[in-house]
Amino acid sequence: MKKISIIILSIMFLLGLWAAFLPNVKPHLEKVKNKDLAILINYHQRYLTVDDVAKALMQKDRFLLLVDVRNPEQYKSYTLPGAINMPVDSILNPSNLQILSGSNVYNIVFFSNGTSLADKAWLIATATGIKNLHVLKGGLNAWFNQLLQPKRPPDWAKQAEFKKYEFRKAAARFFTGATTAEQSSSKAPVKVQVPVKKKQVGGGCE
Amino acid sequence: MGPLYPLGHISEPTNLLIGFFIGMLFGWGLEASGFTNTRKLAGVFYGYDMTVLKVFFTAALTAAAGLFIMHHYGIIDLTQIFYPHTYWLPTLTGGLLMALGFLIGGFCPGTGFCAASTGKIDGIVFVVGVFIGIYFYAFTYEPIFEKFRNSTFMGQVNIADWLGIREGLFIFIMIIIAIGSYIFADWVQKKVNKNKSKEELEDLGL
Amino acid sequence: MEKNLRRKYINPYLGGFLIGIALIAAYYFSGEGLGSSGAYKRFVIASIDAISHTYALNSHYSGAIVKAGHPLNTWLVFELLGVVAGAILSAAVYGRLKWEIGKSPKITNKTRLIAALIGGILWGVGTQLGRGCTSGLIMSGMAVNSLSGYIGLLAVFGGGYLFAYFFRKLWI
Repeated sequence: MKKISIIILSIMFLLGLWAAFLPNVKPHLEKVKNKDLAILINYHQRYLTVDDVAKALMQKDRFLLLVDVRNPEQYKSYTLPGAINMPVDSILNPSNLQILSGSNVYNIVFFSNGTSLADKAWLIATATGIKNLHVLKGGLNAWFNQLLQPKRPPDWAKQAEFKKYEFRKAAARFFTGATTAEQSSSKAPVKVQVPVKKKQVGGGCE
Repeated sequence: MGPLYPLGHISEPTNLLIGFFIGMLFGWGLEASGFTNTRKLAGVFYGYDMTVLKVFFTAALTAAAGLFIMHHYGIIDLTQIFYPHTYWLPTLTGGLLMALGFLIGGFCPGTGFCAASTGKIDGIVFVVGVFIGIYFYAFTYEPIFEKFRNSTFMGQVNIADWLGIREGLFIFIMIIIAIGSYIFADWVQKKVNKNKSKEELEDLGL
Repeated sequence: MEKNLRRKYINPYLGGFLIGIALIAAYYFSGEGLGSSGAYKRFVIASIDAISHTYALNSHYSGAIVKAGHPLNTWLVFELLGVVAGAILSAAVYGRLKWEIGKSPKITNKTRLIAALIGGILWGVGTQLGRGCTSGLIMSGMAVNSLSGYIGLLAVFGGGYLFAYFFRKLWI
């Protein structure tokens, strides 16, 4: 064996020996996850408004995946168009995790009646390492009260408020089936603006 | 503390420029080790040239031990780097296709690209083949591959965690196995090449 | 002189050590492993995007990448360009820059080129399904002790030894 081979193999061996005595990168998996979660919880981009979701639905965004985290009975009685059911206690099922792992491709949005149950689902799923999940702010309550029964803003309100009101009126017509998709989208030309999280690492060869 | 780009210590253009220089070192290492010579690559499967095994294991395990030690002393935070998700069945299946590709084509995408850029015509044809393969995959992704590719999701699994041993110990064991395999490989190579002519061995640079 | 240098390769352990340093640097500076199939993928997506932006945007294969910005504006693409530069530089230093076909002397050039094409196609599909190639999936995966890297190692090298017998005529 040549001298240089021996030198390099010795270096490798010593590095390995050194490594053998060091503790794990993630000695307490939970602890690290909690630290990450604390950062992610403050990540307010996870919230989408009812307007964001309505826009995406009206535009037939193929990358939108709505996930109803309430129980199956509630899901059967009413849910958002195209939503799938994933009760909050079943999120860790392998088949459900598999669906959620598509979050690098789909914009996955959890929703419930309010915000808190969907938030819980978000927390559980995020703790498993799935990133880029969203929560519908205000849930179905907001969907009904703000979107489907929009209140006319006072006359002195800003222009943007009126625009939002017009959009919501169009959305209400769209979702309650009063008009067709073409008409409503011509009345309220909207652009889907589902926030895309700025990614930090490129994602390897995946 | 690293990783510098994900933690915001360097700008995106700097990061890309550094990527170019790191790539240069990688490309130099591959070419100088003889990986643009397809016979040296295929040799690992037939025992007449075990260079691939030596280069490959030394690279991966030196990096593993180095990164692990650097993490312990706060030079790099390994929780902030890109960590691949495990989808065991698609990776196993894809890996078997790659094995066939290796035996038939005699390159892998990285070495093939090096060979193509240094004037090896078989390398150029190989790279064209890889592009054809990816186009085929891209246009048939949704009907054929999508469901399978996203199946058997396991999350970000660390193999030492999975085996239930400490990470540093795992790296050390792998290094011991690697050094053992080098000795074994040298023995095999000598045996296989016993009756070969001097010219033939010189052609492989042995 | 040139003839002698042409087949002089560096010590394999030294080669591995250099690549290991490059791999550590990749993680240290950019938080990324070394890879190449990821860059191939970006080239493919960029070409699809150039021909039909709507198609690229709506395809599940490329949609997320096209949405996030220009497909080529990514670390792996610059890294692969560096690989090209590094390989050419090294080949120039050792006098290996030359048009030639690498093959076993027992097969014809035509056989070799057809085999290279077929092998390439298999790699193309395999890398996309398996999420990376020898460098991106296995070597970079092993550097961070990822299970997927070791599954890839088992499949590519285990599979290689398993099937080697059937393709021996191409090499020995």
